[in-house]
Amino acid sequence: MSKKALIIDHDDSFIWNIKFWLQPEFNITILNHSELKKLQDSEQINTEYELVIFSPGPKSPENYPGSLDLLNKLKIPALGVCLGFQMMTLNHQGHVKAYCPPLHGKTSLLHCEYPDYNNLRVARYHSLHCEPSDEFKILARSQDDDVVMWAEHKKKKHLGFQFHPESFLTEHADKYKSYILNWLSL
Amino acid sequence: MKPLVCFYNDKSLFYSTDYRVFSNQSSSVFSILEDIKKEYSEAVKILQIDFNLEKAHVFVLNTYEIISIDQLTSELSAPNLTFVSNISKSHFIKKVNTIKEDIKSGRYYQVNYTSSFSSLQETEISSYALFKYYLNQFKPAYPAYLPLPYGDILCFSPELFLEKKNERIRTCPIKGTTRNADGYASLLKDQKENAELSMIVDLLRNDLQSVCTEKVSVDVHRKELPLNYITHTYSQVSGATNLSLPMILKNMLPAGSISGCPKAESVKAIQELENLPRGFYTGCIGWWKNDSFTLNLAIRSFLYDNKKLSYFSGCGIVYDSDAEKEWQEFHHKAQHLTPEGRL
Repeated sequence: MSKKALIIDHDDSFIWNIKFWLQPEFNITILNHSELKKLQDSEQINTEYELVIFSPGPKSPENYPGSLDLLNKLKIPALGVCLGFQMMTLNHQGHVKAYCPPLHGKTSLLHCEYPDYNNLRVARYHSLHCEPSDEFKILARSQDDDVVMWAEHKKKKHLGFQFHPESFLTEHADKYKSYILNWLSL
Repeated sequence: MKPLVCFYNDKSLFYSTDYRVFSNQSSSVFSILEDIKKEYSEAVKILQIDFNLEKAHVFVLNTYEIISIDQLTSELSAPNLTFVSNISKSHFIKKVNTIKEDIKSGRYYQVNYTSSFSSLQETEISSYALFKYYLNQFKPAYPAYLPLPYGDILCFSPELFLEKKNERIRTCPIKGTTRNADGYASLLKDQKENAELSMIVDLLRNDLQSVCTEKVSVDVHRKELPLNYITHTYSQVSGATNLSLPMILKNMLPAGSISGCPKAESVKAIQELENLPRGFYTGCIGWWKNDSFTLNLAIRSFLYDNKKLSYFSGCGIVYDSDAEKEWQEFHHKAQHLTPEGRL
């Protein structure tokens, strides 16, 4: 049985890559962030889905108040990719700062405590970077510039990727999907 | 009727002087394509769609020939034309720096910035004679000559936007440009050129995926595309779809490689940055019959209007772009305009 998941699209151009990265284990519906205000409350999402994915996208987390608000109220697991991870960081007393020069369409190797993920090449598209608070456990950093690449909240079911697991430049994208499935089952 | 020419395959072209032209008036580009699909499914049709999706022209060919490119030899030795850039170097550099500031702020990752060159004097040479002359100069894979109500399009595109045969569909985005003297090896080493193409491949994976049933694949990445005036790198993304042309184009236009990434914000930025609407330039042109079609990206193109020529050129701008080099690239893509390659 595939799990029902909702992607909040922040006017991104990689949504369909995320959808097909996570299929068939996840059955994905796409909702543009501008549609969020039409929802009466987040309860509908909490009951209908098993996972909400906060997509990458242009600009900064503050430009998407509806998504930040939903993330706060969410009772089901949340997955953040790039901008989505920055939203999680901001919502939990962390800092989101400018990263210059920005990295778009470039790759780095992961430094990760899990041997299965250590030294894997991942795709980066970001001009901001996260400094999460102690509420998060850092799972991986980039080897070349020590930026947080992957983290999970210690209590809440929030998992964030700064890199783009759905990119064709990311090696072994299925491994991150396996991690998500396992994380959801814990 | 004026002749109409459009690429068919590697070596041959559609040629027709017997056709009907349809264009959307108050309706959308996609609704006219749906109407044409119902009415003229089996006819060979030549399409032209503007970048901003406001206008489309469909030429339904009553009769046509398939001719070899070699048959279109030019009687012209060299047209005596002088071209000037419609943007000054300082203004161009300012635009590139504005784009880099936008990228730094996180607004987008890449934007395709374009401008044009215009001929200074009127010419008595016909647009069709000029088409045949420049065809021999550019030697493009996807040329077209289309007489339109507002002027004639002379297109010498090397870029395949979409090709659909049966259920298979593919796109071949081009990014990465260097002078032939520097060559393919220099492109492969260049991290900026690598990133520029890679992000467009991710964008086109996404766009093609939106019309495909199974996961799309990147079949080719950073392969050499040698032209007689510059060298590019290109990639190929392919998949399988059961949708027809109007729905595919509705999901995929404007094309990723000539807008930017993320696309929606890049298209907004282009409207702010460029002085004039692009019109046919960076839209698409190609043929369509039943469920098969091949469409180019209308780049390396002229508009012939009232005995004057305009030529359009542009560059993908990323954060690592060097404004001076982009200015040179803008000219390298236009070096066939005069026989000496001087502008």
